Amino acid sequence: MGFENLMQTAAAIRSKAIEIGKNEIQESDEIPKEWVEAWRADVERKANAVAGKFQPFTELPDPAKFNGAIAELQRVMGKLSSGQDTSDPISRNGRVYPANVAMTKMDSVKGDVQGWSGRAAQEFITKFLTPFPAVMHNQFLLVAALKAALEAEQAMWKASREDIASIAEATLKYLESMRGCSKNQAVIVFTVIASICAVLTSSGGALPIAITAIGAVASAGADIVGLESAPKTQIDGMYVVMVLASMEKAINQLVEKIMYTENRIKSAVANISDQIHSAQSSSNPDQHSFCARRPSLADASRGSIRHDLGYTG
Amino acid sequence: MGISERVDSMVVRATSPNGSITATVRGMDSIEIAFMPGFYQRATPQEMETQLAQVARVLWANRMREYEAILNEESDGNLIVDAPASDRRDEQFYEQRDNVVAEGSSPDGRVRVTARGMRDWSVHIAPGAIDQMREDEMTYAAVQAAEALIRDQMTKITELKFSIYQDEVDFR
Amino acid sequence: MPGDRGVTLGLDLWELYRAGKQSLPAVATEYYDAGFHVGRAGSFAEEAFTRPAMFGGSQGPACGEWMELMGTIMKFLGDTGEALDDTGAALVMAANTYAETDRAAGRELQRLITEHHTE
Repeated sequence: MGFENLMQTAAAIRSKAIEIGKNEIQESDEIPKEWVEAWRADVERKANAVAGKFQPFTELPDPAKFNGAIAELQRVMGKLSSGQDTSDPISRNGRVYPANVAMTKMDSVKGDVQGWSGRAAQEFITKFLTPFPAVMHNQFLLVAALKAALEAEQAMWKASREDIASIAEATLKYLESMRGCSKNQAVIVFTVIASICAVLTSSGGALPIAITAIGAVASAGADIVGLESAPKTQIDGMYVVMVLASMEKAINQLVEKIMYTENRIKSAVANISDQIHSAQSSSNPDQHSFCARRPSLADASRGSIRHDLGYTG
Repeated sequence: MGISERVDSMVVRATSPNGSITATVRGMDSIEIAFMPGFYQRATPQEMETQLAQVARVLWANRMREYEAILNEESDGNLIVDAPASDRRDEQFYEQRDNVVAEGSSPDGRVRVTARGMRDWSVHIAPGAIDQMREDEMTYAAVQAAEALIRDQMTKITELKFSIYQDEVDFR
Repeated sequence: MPGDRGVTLGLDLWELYRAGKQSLPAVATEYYDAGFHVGRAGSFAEEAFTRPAMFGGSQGPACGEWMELMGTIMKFLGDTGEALDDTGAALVMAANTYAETDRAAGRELQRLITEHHTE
């Protein structure tokens, strides 16, 4: 079975449902012919609707489609890496990013500008060059968080495919088990909510505030998931139409859980954006963690440059 | 091979406690019975009735076990047989199912079988039948009676299901 | 010697020149490159988010926030790159401006530029 065969499984559910439904009630003294016909028509109508309930899930995002964006962001992390504390701070199985040698050219600039006493020159050193490594590291972490959000989405869609396939498989197996006198139940475990926690570490303690957002949401998710263990539902029913109703209920629960999980990702990302805005619009002009304020030296003119650098000759 | 195919082609065996009778059921409803050599010649009617009832009970229990094992294997344990009752209706179903009395007899009526809840079995053989019937006629009659009982059980369960669950189905 | 001060200044000017012509632009390029790849990630991601509307809209609830964060990061990277580039240009301008008024310094600057291939 599996996600690749989802619609085939749906078709098998339809056939089995109709096959069973034909013989569920027989004409008798208590059961007139019209009832039997109405019953069969009802089963057929509901069985014919099965494919349509699974169809939208075949158009769920393909987890593989996130690989391109993730690879681009890994490349960016490599660009912004100083080589210190540059293992992936958020993703499990993340890489270690070696130093980008080109960035080391910044090291010599401070020495080149140091002797100049002008206010703009000094501002350039204290407000731009000195904090530069820390700012670059925060930018590295931001990109890590942006990437982690995509990895969470990817994990969520992979789990969603598995969960819808579980529902289809459980329904078909349940129908096949409906012979004889027992009252059965097919258990379904939803994996989608916990899926994002599997991707992200729940540390985040060593990271700047803004980046703990995704880590914190991940660990909050793990806490909640831990409490209810893995969320479950079941396929059951003494008659085929009841079985199909329990299947539909399970599908609706899955849609809810997908929305819930994706909204968690959304909140974590929104949280990061909020914290960035707070940091960048901080009333403390020295406190710009993710992008240093443009040095006034950058806007120097021929007329101002002597004064900016402090050249008195 | 899926669940349906495996259940339809199940072969389950049982032996009566003293080993004198062996019974086999294939699929849902096809029975075979065999006596140990010499048993039919020396058995009293009471002993015959007792051993037949015992083998039927064990056979049915084995069949349920085999059914559960198949479902378990095919579903990695996710398919549960006789799941706990989730409401009053389910409780009623289980109570009444355990008390369904099914019956079957051979065409000539000389062998009669009854079972309550497919657990408490009794077999009645008409007086003199053992003397009048050859061994193969007796096994044939026992098989006919058992298969008739199974059909009766299925009918009664179908009616029971309908009486309890039909208004959950809005088909009219 | 009277030219010594000019030579010393020339060295200082050459260091400014080097910082502005090579070091800062090299780092700026890394930043522009980084910003480009963030943008590329955004294009890939936009397609990846697409799904049937019943799952929270045709791009889902997280896409907009993600794109916004992506855009913010792109802006930071672009702004940083520009700041580096523009500061670099200012330092080059500074070196050239001083060299115009101090001949000895200017000659020393030219000599060092040629020697170190700082074009």
